[in-house]
Amino acid sequence: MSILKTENLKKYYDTGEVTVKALDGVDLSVEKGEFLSVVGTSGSGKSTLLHMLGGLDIPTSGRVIVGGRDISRMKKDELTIFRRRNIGFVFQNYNLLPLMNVYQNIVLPIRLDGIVPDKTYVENIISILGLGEKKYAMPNQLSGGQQQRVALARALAAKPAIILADEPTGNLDSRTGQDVLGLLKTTGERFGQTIVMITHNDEAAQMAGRIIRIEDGKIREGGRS
Amino acid sequence: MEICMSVLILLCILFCLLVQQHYKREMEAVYQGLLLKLDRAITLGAGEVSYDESMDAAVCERLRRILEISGMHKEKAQKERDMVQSLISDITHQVRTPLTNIMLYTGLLQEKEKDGETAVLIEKISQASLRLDFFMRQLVKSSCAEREMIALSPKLTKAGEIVGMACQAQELSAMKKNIVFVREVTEDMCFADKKWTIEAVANVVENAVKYSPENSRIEVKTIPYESFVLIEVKDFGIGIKEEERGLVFGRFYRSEDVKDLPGFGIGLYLVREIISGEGGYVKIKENPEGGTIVQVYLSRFPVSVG
Repeated sequence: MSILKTENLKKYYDTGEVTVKALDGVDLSVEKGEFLSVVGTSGSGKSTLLHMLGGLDIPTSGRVIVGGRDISRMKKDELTIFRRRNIGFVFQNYNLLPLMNVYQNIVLPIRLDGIVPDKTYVENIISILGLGEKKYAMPNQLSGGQQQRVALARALAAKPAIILADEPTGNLDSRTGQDVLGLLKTTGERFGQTIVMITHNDEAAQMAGRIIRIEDGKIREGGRS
Repeated sequence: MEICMSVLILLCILFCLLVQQHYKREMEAVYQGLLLKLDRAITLGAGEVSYDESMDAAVCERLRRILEISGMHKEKAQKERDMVQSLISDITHQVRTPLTNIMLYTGLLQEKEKDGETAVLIEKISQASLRLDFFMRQLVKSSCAEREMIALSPKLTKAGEIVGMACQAQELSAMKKNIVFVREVTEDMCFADKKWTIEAVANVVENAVKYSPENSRIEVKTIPYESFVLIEVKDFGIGIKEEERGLVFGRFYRSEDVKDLPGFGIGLYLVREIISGEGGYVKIKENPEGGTIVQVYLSRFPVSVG
C-alpha cells in the first residue's frame, strides 16, 4: 500500500526572464513503512520535493497524495492540521525553541493540537532516544547530536505516519550523524513509520531501504540499497 | 421596572453563557479522554472497561469489541501460519533421522570399500548426503526464525563479551582455513539478549570465514557511539556487490556469485531479525582493501515495548 504518492509533480519558479524548473514531472510512490533516501546535488530539486511532500509548498501542477488524500487540493487551515497530525519533520538546523526545555520542545506540537500529551508514550520516546537525563536541559546546553535527537523526539511525539527529514545530519560530524541516522531508522521500524530522507551524503543514504537520485528536477535512477 | 427587567435579561444571558462554557469544557474533557483511550488502544490494546451508565463506558465497550474482533482475525491467521510452520519443522526433524542413518551406513561402506569404482560412487553418496544434511539444518534454523522463537529479553551486556563468544564459536572453522581473528574490544555496555546476539554475531563471523580466502585475517572490533555500540566484522574476502548489499538480508536470498558454496540464505536474515528486535540495526559496507565490512549496531538505551 503506498502511503505517499506524487503524480507528474511540477514546480516552476518564475524569476522574470527565466523559468526555473525545480521539479519537472516527478512520479514517486512510497510504501507504508518504507525508508526512502532521496539523493542529489544541491539545486537538483530534492528539497523542493520534500517541501511538496510535506505540504509546505504548493506545486505548479500535479498531485501529492498522502494516505489517499490529495493534499495539493486542501485548504490552508485543513492542510496545517493534516500536516501536524500526519507528518513529522526533522530539519538540518534542528529548529528547537531556545526558551523551552527539552521536554517542552518535544510536546510542543501535541500541545498545539490542543491535546494532552500521552505521558507514557512521550517518556518511552525520551528513553529510547537516550534523553532521560537531559529532559529539563535547555537546547543551548546540548551538543548538536543531542539537539537533533530532541528534534527527532519532537517529530515522533505526535505519532505521525510519515517522517520527512531534510539533511538531518548536515550539521553533524560523521560519527554523530551515523548515530542519529541509526536512531531514525530504529525508531521508524519500532513505530511503523514511513521515512523519506533527503541527503547529499551517499553513506547516509545507504541506511535506507531504497534510494532514488534526483537530477534537474527529475528522478534519474532508483533502486534498493 | 425597566431597569429590573434589563438586569434580569442580562443575568439570564450571563447564566446561559456560563452554562455553555461549562458544557464546552466538559465536552472537551470527554473528547480528550476518548482520544487518549484511542491512542492507548492503538499502541497497547484496549484497557480496562468500567461498566456504568455513562456514554464513556458505552463507547469504550464498543472500542473493546472492535479490537476483539480484529484480534480474533489476527489470531486465526497466526494459528494457520503456525500450523504450516510446525508441519515444516516436523518434516525436517523426521527427515533428519533417516538422513543420519544414510550418512552412517555410507561411512561404514566407505571403510569397507577402499578402492575401485564403488569407492568413487560411495564418495559421491557421502557428499550428497552431507549437503542434504546441511540444508536440513538450515531449514530448521529458518523455521526457528519464522516461528517467532526468537524471544528476546535484552539486558545490559558487555559488547566485548559478545564478540569473544561469537569468535570462539567460529574458531574451529577459521583454524581449518588458517584464518586469524584480530580482536579489538572496548569496555562498552549495550542492551542485548546475550544468547541471541552471540548467535547473530557468530553468524556474521561465520560468513566472514566462509567467504574469505585461506591464510587471511578477520578483524572484529567494538566502537562506542553516543546511542549505539558498534560491533564491526571486517574481512578480506570476496565482498558483496553494491546492489546486493540490501538484498542479502532478505529471506532465502543468495548471490549468483556463491551459488556453488553451500548455504540457504537464512543467516543474515536471522541476524537482522535479532538485532532489530533489540533496537539495533545492521549495515554492510565495502572494505576499501577488498572484502566486506558488516556493522552491527546495538542500542545503549533500554528499549521498552509498548
